[in-house]
Amino acid sequence: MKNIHILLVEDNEGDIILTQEALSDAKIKNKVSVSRDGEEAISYLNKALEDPEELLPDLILLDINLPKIDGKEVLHYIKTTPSFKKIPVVMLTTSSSELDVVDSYNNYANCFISKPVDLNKFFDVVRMIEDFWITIVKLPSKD
Amino acid sequence: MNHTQASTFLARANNCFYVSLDHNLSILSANEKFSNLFTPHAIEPGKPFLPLFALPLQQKWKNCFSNNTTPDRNPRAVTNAVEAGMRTLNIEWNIFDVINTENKNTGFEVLGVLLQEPAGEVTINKESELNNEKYYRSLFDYNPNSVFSLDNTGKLIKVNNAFTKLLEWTEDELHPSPLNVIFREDDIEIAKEYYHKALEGNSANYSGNLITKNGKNVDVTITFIPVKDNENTIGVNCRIENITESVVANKTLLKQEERLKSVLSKLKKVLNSSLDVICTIDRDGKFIKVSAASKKLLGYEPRELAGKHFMDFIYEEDLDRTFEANLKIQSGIATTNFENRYYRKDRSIADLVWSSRWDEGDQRYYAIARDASEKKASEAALKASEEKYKILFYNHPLPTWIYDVETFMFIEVNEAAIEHYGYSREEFLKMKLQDILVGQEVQRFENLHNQEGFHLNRHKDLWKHKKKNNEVLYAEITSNFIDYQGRKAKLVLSIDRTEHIIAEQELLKSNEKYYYLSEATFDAIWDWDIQSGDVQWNEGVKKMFEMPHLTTTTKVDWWLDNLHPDDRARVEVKLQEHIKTNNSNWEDEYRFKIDSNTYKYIFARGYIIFDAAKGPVRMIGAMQDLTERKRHENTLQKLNSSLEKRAKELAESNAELERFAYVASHDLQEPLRMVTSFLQLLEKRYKDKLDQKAHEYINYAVDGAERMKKLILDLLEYSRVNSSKIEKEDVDVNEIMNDLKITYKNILKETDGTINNSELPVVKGNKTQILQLFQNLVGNAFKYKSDEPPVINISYEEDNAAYKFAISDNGIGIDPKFFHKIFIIFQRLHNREKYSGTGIGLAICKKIIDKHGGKIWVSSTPGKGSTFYFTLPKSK
Repeated sequence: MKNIHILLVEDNEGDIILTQEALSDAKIKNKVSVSRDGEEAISYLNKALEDPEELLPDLILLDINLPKIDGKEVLHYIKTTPSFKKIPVVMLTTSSSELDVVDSYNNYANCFISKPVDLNKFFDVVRMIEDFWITIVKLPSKD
Repeated sequence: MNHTQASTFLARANNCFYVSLDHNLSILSANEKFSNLFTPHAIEPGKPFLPLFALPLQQKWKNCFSNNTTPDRNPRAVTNAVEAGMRTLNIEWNIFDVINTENKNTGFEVLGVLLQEPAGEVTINKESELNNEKYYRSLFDYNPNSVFSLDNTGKLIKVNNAFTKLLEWTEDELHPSPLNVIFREDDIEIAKEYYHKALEGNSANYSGNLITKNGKNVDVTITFIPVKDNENTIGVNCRIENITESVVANKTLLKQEERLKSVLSKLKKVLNSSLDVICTIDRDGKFIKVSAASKKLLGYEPRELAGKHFMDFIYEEDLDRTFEANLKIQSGIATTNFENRYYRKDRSIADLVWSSRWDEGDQRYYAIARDASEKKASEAALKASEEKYKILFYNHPLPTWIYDVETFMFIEVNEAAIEHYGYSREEFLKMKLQDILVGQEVQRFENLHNQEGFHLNRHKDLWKHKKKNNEVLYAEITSNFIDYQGRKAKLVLSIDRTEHIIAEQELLKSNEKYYYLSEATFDAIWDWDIQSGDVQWNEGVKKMFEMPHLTTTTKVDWWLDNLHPDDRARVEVKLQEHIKTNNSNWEDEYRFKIDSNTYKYIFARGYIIFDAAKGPVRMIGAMQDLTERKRHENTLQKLNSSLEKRAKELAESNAELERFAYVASHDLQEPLRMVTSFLQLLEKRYKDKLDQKAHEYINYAVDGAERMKKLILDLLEYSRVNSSKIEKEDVDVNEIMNDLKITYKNILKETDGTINNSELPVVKGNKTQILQLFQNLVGNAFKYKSDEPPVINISYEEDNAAYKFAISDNGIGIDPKFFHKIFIIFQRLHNREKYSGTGIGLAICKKIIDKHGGKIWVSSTPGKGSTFYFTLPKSK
């Protein structure tokens, strides 16, 4: 089985570590690319088009509170750009604001998950995301 | 004709003088014409006859009366002048003896006829008299013959001593006298003839009689001698020669008979010259003699009537009456003023008035008939005029009556009075005027009548009358004092003014009401007489304008002049427009100057009254002082803008609060999560490398982070209650309780606790908040439980305004001295080790109750339990 490529858009260094830690416990081998703000995420994706097979992620974990361009704008960009819109986007954020939830789904987020405060729960959530989106779901090909 | 018979109707004759005397020459009776002759002296029975005349005439009368020794001397005539008023009348008198059955004289009847020529005025040529006096007086006086002188008017002016001896007259007595003093009546003409001859210058001898002062006849011969002055005859002297009496005795007798004839013919003249028909009728009713007036009065010549029956000419309808009257007359009752109608010759009808009597001795009627047509005509006219006034009175459209001012009884009432007052005429005529007056008016009426001079005045006054049906009416009475058939009376005209008076009283009342109302009200009321321009202001206006000395009436210009210059033109134009278009309801707002630099805001509303010709007559209105309101409006406006500002500030503050909440919920949690997560990651990844103490420290750190997280969430919740608008809906508290029982299922099991509640109501509120409210309170009851298993009772009461809930527990209770603290945020009564909590729960409860408009409070006994009460209003 081919390595799974996940793009993590997250500005919080602690969360990056915690997410990577959780993913490192994963059953499937994966590669994690990290963008630390919205702008960086968009430019990464566009650059990835040069070698989609190698660089385009299979799943995007997107935080909402991002410097420069926030997560909702990045979501909107992804879902309105034909080359990216088939990529599943999981909103993974500390926000539990109703407004954020609604906005996200309106912009075709594939799912919205509040980060649990408790570490073990957070690990469980990441494992379930991996399990669901990578093992269970049939994803489109990158072409 | 017998003189006695003649005298009967002569007594009534109007065209001759008649007097009847007894044998002592005292008056027995006289007719009116004779009486009038001596006005103002009264002619009464018993009055001596002779003194009525001048002294010379008295003697002459005496002579006539005394020469009555033989019946055939009747009548004797005497002509003399009578001074009647300012005139001297020449009357020819005839004296008749009244002889009784024994042929003795019992008195006289004297009949006089006015002669045409009145006695001329006596004028005396005084100058000639004086001349004669000088030269001839002595010679004249002592002439042995009787001599007298006549002046150029035929008047006796001088007599000598011998004359006085013969005829007993002295010169003083005679001077001057007419010839008939000494000549017999019958001789006057002859004497005058001789006199005139003498005046013409021819002497003449006259033989005849003269009368002495005592009435004795003296046969004389008189020579008339002219008296000349130069060539003019200025008088006549007469010399008398006495002749023996015996020579003339027979001659005198003859003359007496002639005189009788003359008198009778004169009497006939008198009869025929009468305007009345004088007639004699025989026992069968046939005319014997009729006087000449019959021609004029009836169209018949007297001879045509003679021998005809007097009944033949009577108008049929009057026959019976006349017949009856005739019977009366025949039985000896003289009748006067009997009226009947007589056919004239031309068959027209004459109205006659008869005086008649039957003379048993003569066996005939003596009758005088007079034309009554004129009288009838005037009577008819009078009757017609009376009728006219009667109609006027009885049919006058206004109630009219006459009452006696002494008895106050009604004398006459007209139809209108009967109809209007309801009393019949019979009832009226039995009533006094007071009977139609209303109670208190009676005294007024009587007082008025007692006033002096009341009857003389014409009155117009208002009285309260009552009708028969007791209805009261206001009558305007006009009355006038009249003499009604000899009674002092008032003619009264009554005009019913009830409606008018009542309307007037109503108006007065309503005006009074308006006056008191306008006095009483604080509002300013005005009344503008548009024609005169006068405006009446009430007290309210003075108060409103703060002008206590404002006159009650001003001109409308005063008002206009005090309008604010910026408002005046607009106000005037609008008002004129209303008047022009007949729009009665006017209102306007303007500023009115109350002193040099203060204006008041006035709201005025008025009603314009137009007359039938749509001309404006009057405008009534009220004003309101808007100054205060304007001030309030301004204040309100300021307040509003400040509120808006505050609301804006508040909105900003809310937004800040929300940002704070967001920060609290997100940004504050983020680092906390990091703390917790990495502590746990440390524990996870380095489990084997950390000792027991390290694990313990990590636990404290994680616990602190947990509590901080809890605090942040509670705070967030609190801020949400505060900031969010609540949407109210029906909340079934039973459902809330069911939810809670599920939520607290584990705790209930663990603590062996119970929650009891009766059937609870459906309230109005925000469901989330109501749930939170109950959750917090029930949660507290578990949290602060005693050692006993917790028993929580939930109940409620309701009144019209609100539901009151009570949540009681058997927990540790609260010391009353902390009651005031428990609802304040972050206030905790217990240490964290024993009772966990942030100190925000009850603060949130209070916030929710505040938001719902209710109240929350607590009662508690420490160690026994607490009861939390709160109310939720039913509406809103």
